[in-house]
Amino acid sequence: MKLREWWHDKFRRGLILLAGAAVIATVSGRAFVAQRTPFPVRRGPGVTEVWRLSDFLPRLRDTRGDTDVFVLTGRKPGGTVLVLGGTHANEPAGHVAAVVLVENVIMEAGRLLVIPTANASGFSAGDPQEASPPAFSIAAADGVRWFRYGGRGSAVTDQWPDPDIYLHHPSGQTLSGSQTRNMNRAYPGRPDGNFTEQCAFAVTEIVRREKVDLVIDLHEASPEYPVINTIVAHERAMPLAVAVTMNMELRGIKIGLEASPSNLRGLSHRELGDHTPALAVLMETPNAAEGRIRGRTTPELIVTGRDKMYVRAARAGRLFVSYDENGHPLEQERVLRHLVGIEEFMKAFSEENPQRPIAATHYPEQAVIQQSGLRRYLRP
Amino acid sequence: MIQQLILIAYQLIVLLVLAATVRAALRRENSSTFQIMAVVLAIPLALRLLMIK
Repeated sequence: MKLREWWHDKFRRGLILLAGAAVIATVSGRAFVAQRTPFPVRRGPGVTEVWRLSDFLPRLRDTRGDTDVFVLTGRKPGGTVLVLGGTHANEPAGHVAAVVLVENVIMEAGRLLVIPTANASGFSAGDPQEASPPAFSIAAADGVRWFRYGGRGSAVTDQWPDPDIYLHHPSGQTLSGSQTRNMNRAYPGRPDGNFTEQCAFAVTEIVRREKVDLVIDLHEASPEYPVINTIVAHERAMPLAVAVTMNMELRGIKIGLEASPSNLRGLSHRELGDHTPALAVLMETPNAAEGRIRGRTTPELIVTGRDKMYVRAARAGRLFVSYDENGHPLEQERVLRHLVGIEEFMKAFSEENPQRPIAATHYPEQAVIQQSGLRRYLRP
Repeated sequence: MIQQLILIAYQLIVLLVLAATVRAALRRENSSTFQIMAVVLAIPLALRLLMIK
């Protein structure tokens, strides 16, 4: 009776309920803020310098758009290739492949620039209403390595609100307003643009100032998306991409080839090819975790690609990639496809430009990854 | 400088609204339903305050 009377006093009841609200806000808030902790990237023996993206656009300093740029310089002079991982933080094959390069490759000739988290802001939060897990893990040489899984665009806490219509600069092409936070619709970017445009501009500045010869942007796509398991190449990069496609097929890696559409603006392969002297390509692999048909988004789905609904969709002929109960594993297939592609691009570029070779040693071996995943190539 | 002032102003506004919500949740004159709504509203306001950089 006393408790009931006590509860009926609105002031005391309000205090208890507010205390409960404070607990909920604290627990969920801490979990949200914890997503801002970046995943570890170990500096491998081939890394000669580490820059920051803000070195190329100072206003990004002390923002969540700033990120590491790993520089691997060879003993001999040669060409420069830039690998972009993490343009979309929900496409893990990109940033995992980039990390593997940073932690293993030693350059013999030329220079390899790697940005594992090109849109670092995207890693600080998932996309609203997607219920994605904030992280996933992979077996490493001695234990487990964890990686962040984020959102497709810059976090809404870094850039908000979205306009109704996004006007791409400088083409003026109109896109859906939510694309304003998609870094792969923001190139070439501008220094005084919105947050995402500034990040894209900094990457473009790297290409210009460092005289990058070849840009490879690593992505994934949902299995129902037509551009999948594909290289998308700017027209100037197409001869190189043709050679790479053939060589990848000879190595048993199925890969398609698409021309960069000239009427779709803002993408890295279009704009970096148009606005810089670099050859620009993009690579896609299948990722069920970002698809619309998927079931629950779990770390297991991210790593294995196994999903019952996608198997059903494949049987109904709705997908642009084959799908069975084995899924599409992140390590043995998706990251491997990216790593083999990058290796072949470096070889093909060196053959076409013998005076500017790009050659690497200690490159992750296809047979090893197919057999036992990335365990050997992820430092403890 | 202006950006920092805008940030401070925004934080103060959210804090003000949160304070009003907490007051509403504690007032004996308000109905129980209103009290519950105020408590529920306090959660996203507190989160917003936490996430403003």
